[in-house]
Amino acid sequence: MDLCVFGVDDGYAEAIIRGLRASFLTEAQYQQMKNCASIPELKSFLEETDYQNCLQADNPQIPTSILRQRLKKKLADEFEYIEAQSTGTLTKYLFHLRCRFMIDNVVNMIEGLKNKIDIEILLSNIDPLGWFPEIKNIKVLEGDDYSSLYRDVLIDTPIGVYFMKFLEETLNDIQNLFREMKPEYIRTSLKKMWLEDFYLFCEQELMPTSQEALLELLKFEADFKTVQVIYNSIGNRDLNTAAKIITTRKQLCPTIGNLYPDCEKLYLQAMTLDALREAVKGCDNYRDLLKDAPDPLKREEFNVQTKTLDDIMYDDECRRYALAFDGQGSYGVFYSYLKLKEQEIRNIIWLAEMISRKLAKNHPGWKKIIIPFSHLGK
Amino acid sequence: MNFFRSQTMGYYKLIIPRESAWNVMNELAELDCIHFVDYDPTLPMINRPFANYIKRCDDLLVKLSLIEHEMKKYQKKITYCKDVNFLIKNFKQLIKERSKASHTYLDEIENDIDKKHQQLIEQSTNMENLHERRNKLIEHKSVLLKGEALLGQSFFQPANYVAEGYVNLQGKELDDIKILQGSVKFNYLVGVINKEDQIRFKRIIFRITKGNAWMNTMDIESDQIVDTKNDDAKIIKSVFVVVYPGGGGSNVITNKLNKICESFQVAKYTFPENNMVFQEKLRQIETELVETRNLLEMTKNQVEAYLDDFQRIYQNSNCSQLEELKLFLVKEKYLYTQLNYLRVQGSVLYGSIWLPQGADIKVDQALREVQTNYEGLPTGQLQISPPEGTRPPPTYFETNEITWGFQEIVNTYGMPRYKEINPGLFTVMTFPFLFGVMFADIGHGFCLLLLGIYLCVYNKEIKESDSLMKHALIVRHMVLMMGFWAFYNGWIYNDFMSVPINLFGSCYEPGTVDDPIHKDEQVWVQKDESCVYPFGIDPVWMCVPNELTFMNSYKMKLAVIIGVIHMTFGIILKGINAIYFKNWIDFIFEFIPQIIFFTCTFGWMDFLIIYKWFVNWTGKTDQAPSVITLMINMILAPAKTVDPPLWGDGQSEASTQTAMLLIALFCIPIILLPKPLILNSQNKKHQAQGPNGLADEKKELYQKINEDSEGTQENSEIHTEQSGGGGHHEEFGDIFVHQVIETIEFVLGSISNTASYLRLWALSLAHGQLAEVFFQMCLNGGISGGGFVGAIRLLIGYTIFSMATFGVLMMMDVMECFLHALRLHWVEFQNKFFKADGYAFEKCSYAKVMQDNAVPKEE
Repeated sequence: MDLCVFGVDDGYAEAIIRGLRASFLTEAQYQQMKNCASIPELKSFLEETDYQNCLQADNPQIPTSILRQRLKKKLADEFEYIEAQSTGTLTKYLFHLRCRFMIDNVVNMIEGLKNKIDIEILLSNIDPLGWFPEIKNIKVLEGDDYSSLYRDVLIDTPIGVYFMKFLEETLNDIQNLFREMKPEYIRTSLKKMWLEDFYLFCEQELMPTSQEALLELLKFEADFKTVQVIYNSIGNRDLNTAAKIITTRKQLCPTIGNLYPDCEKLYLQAMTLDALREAVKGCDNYRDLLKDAPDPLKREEFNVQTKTLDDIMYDDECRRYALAFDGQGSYGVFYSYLKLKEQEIRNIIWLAEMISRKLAKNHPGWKKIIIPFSHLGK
Repeated sequence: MNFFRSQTMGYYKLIIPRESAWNVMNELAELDCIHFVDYDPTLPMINRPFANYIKRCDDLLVKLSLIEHEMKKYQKKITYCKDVNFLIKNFKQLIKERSKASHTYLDEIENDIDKKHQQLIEQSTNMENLHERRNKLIEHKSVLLKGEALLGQSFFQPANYVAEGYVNLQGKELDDIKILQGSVKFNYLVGVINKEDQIRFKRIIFRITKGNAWMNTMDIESDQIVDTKNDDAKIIKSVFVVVYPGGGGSNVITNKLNKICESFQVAKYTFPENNMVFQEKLRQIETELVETRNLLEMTKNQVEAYLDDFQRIYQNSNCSQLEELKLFLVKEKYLYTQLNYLRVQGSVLYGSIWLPQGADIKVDQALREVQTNYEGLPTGQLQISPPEGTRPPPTYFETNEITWGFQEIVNTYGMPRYKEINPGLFTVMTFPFLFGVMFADIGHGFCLLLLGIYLCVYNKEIKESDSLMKHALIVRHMVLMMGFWAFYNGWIYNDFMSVPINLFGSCYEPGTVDDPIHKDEQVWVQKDESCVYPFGIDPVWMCVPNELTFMNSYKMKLAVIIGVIHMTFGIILKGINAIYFKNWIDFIFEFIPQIIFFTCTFGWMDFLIIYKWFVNWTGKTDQAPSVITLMINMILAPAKTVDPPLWGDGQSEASTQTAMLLIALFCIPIILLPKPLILNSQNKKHQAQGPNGLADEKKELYQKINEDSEGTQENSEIHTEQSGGGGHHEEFGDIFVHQVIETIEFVLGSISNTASYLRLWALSLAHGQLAEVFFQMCLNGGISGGGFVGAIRLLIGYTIFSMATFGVLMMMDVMECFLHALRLHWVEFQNKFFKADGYAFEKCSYAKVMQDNAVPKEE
């Protein structure tokens, strides 16, 4: 039934997204990009693609960070346009999508301020997708006065609610929290809460078709997070006792997804990669995914060539998003678009790095890009 | 015959020395007759030899568009170029004057534009700064005035406060604060903030001061502050005043508030302490404001002077300097794009080109001219060459103003294959005619005809005016012809906006019959046995109750007759194509059985219809057979005697139609079977011969090319290798399935297509009925009513009638009939013979690309 009325409110926004499908770089274009010998060449190549307008004003010798900023700006502009065209639930939904980037931005800002980096630099480096007007006000932070930062600024931001929950959960003094806790920890916890919140939103407010597509994706994402947390905590030096590992894990692992709650007990206690593999074997193709993952205990031996767990996961993610993008009449397409474009930007930046380092063409790093939609043809 | 079949093409090699590439290409592009073949379409443009020139042109075009943007901002009127050929000549002259180093003209322009662009930017930033300053002053002034309005003068005068203490301002009004002022010290914050940030600002102030502050805002008059960064859009700002208690611990708050203000990019101002300072400040601001205004005016004049330079129309030019530069750059860019299609080897460029027959002489001449014009420069060479690659030659028709539109209709469906019969030729006539059959109405057709005549006669005047009709000019001949045929067919149907015209006098008159039962009914009696209405339908049909039945049957039959003729013609064209391409298999096993099948079924039906018209059925109408029943019985009960017969006793009719049916049925296997079998055996033979065999079609095509282009006989060796052996030959299964589909499509298609031509009747019926409804509802009452009331009714009715006629019939129905005529051509007619898999000959032409860019972009 919801397929019949989907177009009434969201048809236009969906149509725009479908039109933007054509802007994805093709495999042939990636091939040409790999053949570029220098950054100016890469830039002039990108100017022949959909990225033309966002790069035109720049110097040919564009630094990678600026390049990333430009590409993200373009994505953010597109997204903003779609957001402006949306109504009702879709607007709320799109806003939820952006919260993830806001969390990143805020955590980055606080982290930067902590390290005494100039606020203007920090502001110029924020992800345009997660921009919101209040972010400028973080400037108010004075010395180490995080509690007033939280009270005066953060609480009123769109993501203030996650901070609030975070504080409730940790039952900690905000002052110590920011001062002592690792930003990665804050970020992961906030994102976990965001994910759960987003999941709840999808479950409660979206129409069945959208739900079906999105919950599937979000479950996977939650599992991805869980596996990441467990994986990264294996052999982590900061967490020396088993009890500490388990409590940290419990705090960081989302309480949604295919793995939760059935496998919770198992994965919380997995202390080796094999145990983790054993813990997730019941679900989907996770076992296959983890099969190729390198052992986290040998973290020091990793280098550019290593296909890390993230790479493997991204690859699988990309396939799912490409499939979801082709689904009709669901909000999944917006989510997928965002994710796939992010992947594309990651690819371009990766290639730009490779090019600027002038690595040999037979270097395995060249293969480490995941091309959106390339999974569909096979 | 260049419109019947596309122009004969010759394949040539062009060799240009690199140093004279620009001159040669410039000369060649002016010829408007060369199709450059891209030597490697997969190669991205940036990797090509002239990519940097294109980039330069692009950069300059961007700069020019920025200047154009500025010009629009200052409302400078740009004169656009109307005649690009004039400009091309002008450029040529210009470059000749500078003699030699011709392409350095680009460098010159580049410098010039760069310089001017730079200056313009400088002035613009200047302007922006001045605006900024002005904004600041206005803000300051507003702060003073509004601040006073918000708080009252007395507030800022130093008060003899007694104690520093905590005081709760929550929920207090200004008056309360004023009372407290005597006893407690207050801090204040005055400034200007963007209106959109106002609420957030208020909230954060509230949180920081824990609600212990009083705040009020007031908008600045919206039209004063200009946002120069955003195209001079107006932004609304407002003055705010925050009052919070000073004293103990207020430093922390002050500090925080300052930071907040900074993060909101709020401009803070101090408020003068007494009235004298206040007035002094105000005066000072006023004088500064005047100063800035003068400066702004000056800068503006300067910018306008720069822009005037671009607006001016120089001697020997027909458009603004800006346009001239733009078109020159477009031309230059186009030239380099075409040069990029050539392959570079050492210091020589090699290119492959297609030339229409006869154009090689022109090219040769142009190449020689290069040598005479630019002494010392080596010129290019043209060589005849056998075609490379598997792509057949491009299709090229020379069109004129009349044929262009119709050819476009055909091209929209598909480009004709090289040398295939061009349906465009016939479309010129059949399209307006079929439209006319559907839109048949003397009145409406005449309106359309008038429009066509108007567009054709006043062509020149309209072209130069700014009239909206300008866009219709391009199809003026089409409108004229469509109007004419609608008018003509209106006479045939004798229908003037649903009223028939009694032009020649009807052959019938009112009368009575002797029959006692029908005595009181009015009947129409023929005046004279031999009386026939000379042209079209007798108007008397309007007055009889069976008008619709008669007209429907008549129009339906006409539609089917026209359809069958149209389609038979299409099938015959297929035969002619087969003969031309010497494709005997197609001719014998497709064309011949198809035409026989079609004549024996629907041709036979047409014959029956026409025969029935020739028989005088007066007095024996009940004996007249229905053509539909005849056709149905022909298939369902083939051998049975026909009853009632159309002629004779029905015996001969029955045998004829049986024979027809048998012949038609016999044709189906002939269409179906022999062709795939023969093709298969041919393929086998080729395979046995090895990879040299090539599919017939291509071979014939190349033979054709070589036969047609004179002088190429020596090179007439057919290059077959490229297409490669295996893989090309289709499997027998594929060929057979293909043929099955073709057969089914033809046999079933002939039925459904014939039925499809009934739209000629259906649309004409719809048109007639709509016209009748409008007439009856709006006019009839008034006319028959008469008198004063009738006049009023007529007045109102006519208004509605004219609007409905214009909107529904002259707009919507024209569109509808147009689309249906389009469909009849694309589907029913063209599917009989049209392959439509060619590609267009794209001549390298300055005029075209410049014309495309000469039109102002509408925003």
